[in-house]
Amino acid sequence: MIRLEHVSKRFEMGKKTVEAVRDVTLHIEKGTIAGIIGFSGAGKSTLARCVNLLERPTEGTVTVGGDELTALSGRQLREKRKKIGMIFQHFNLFASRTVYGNVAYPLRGSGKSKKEIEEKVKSLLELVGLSDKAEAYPSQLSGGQKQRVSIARALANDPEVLLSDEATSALDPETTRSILRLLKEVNRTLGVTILVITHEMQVIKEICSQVYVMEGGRIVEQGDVFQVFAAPRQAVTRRFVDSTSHLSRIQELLDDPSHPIRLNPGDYLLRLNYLERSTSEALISSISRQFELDINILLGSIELIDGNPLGGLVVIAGGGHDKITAAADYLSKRNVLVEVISHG
Amino acid sequence: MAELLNQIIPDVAARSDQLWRAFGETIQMVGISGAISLVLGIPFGVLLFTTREGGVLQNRPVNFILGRICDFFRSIPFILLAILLLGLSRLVVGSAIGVRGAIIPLVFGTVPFLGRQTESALAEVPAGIIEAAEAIGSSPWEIIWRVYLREAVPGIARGVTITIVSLINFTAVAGTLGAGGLGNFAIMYGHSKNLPQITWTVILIIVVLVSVVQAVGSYIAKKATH
Repeated sequence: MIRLEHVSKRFEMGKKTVEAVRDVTLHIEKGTIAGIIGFSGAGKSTLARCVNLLERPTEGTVTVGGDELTALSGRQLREKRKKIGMIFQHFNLFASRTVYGNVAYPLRGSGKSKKEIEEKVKSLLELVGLSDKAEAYPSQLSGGQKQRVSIARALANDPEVLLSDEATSALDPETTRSILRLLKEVNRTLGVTILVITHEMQVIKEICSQVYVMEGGRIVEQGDVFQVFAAPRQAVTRRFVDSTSHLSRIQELLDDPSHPIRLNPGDYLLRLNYLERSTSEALISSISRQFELDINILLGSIELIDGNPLGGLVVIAGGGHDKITAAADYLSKRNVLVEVISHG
Repeated sequence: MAELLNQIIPDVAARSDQLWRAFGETIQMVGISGAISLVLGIPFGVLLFTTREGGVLQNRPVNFILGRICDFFRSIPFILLAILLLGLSRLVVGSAIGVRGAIIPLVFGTVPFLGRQTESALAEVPAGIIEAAEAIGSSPWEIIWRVYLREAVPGIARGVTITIVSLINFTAVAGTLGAGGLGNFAIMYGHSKNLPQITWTVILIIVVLVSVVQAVGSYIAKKATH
């Protein structure tokens, strides 16, 4: 549905040239929710804005729904943009128009009668749960409500694609979840392909099935969300994984002199990472029984990503080198990555 | 009432007919040149803003030329501008004096001023809103009509208010050059005949006039802010 081929975007800032996007090629399938994650300055917003040509790429082609946008005339591009909805971090609603007026704005000149527009706006407001706010002005709404209005506005012309540029970054965690649920529902019920730009791992985990990790204007890692985050290859991806898992706190615990972790001779401090759907098995009990180990769980973090459990444990295993090695072997065969953090 | 005025300000009461006529002339000058300036000044300001770099009608040469024209007329003190335009006035409206003769200089003095006011009102519209309209597929003209000129109503109302106030000020100056109106009345009687009552009365009337304009402008700006 969205196809970018060798897209680059350079900005001339006086004498300096900033390369915001470097040679990005990606393909997002129809009906999926894909995410681009990156820290600020990674170029992800510029890349998203290249999709509807708010930024015209310096090089490369952009194709959405079979139409090559980079080859369209101004008028054709404007027509095409009606089929690409976009929502923003700061909502960008028309302050002088009511909620109704904002959602109706894209419908003018669409050939719809006044009555049809009215019905369309009504059904959109129902979809986003704001039927009772039609006559309110944006300034009278909360952040979450504003984003709902902007989603309704973005959907007015029945788009094939919805671009979400940091749409939840200005919202509190609870509102973020409700907006993400709404996006998921829009994707499921209307079949809209959604491209989500974010710097929050949580957003990717909650709604995306595909992820692209961006750094320095390039896509450095991509694929299935579960796979990418179960076995991150790039340092930047690992940082995102760590940002929502507290397993990385083990280092803080080790460094903190007030809570020393005491390892007896023969004890091993291990990190177990679940790479596949293995969390349903009673692995800890099994190795404890089979290899006669004492296992003390220090930290645990297991989450559902795209419906699959992902995460791990940090444990102290006691029972001697040989037994622990055998247990580690057993775990590896069940797709659990075993890492020795330290030993006594 | 007339009796009372006669006692307090006899100099004014004795010339109440001329005062009324002068007041009428001022209103006429402000009304006519104000209306023309509105029709020309707001589009002028829209062009000044939208032809800027990054604007929806980005056009460097046009922007440069409009900007210089604007600065040229704004940098000339109004009294000199009025003298400069006497010839043009005679050519266009057939007179360089009276209410008719004042219209051209007033318009030239006001349009660049209102243009800049409109320009800065449009600049206050958040760039994100314009971007959203572009993403929706609006054309540049649609963005001007349906977004800028709507979102900027409070700012434009404030700009128009300031413009009318300065226009009232300009009419008094034009009055000294033979345009009539309250300015002329105050100069003729208050100054030349040394009747301070006249001067003070004219000042009072202008203060009230300006206050009314300001109050109406502020009210509209407030009403349009959501």
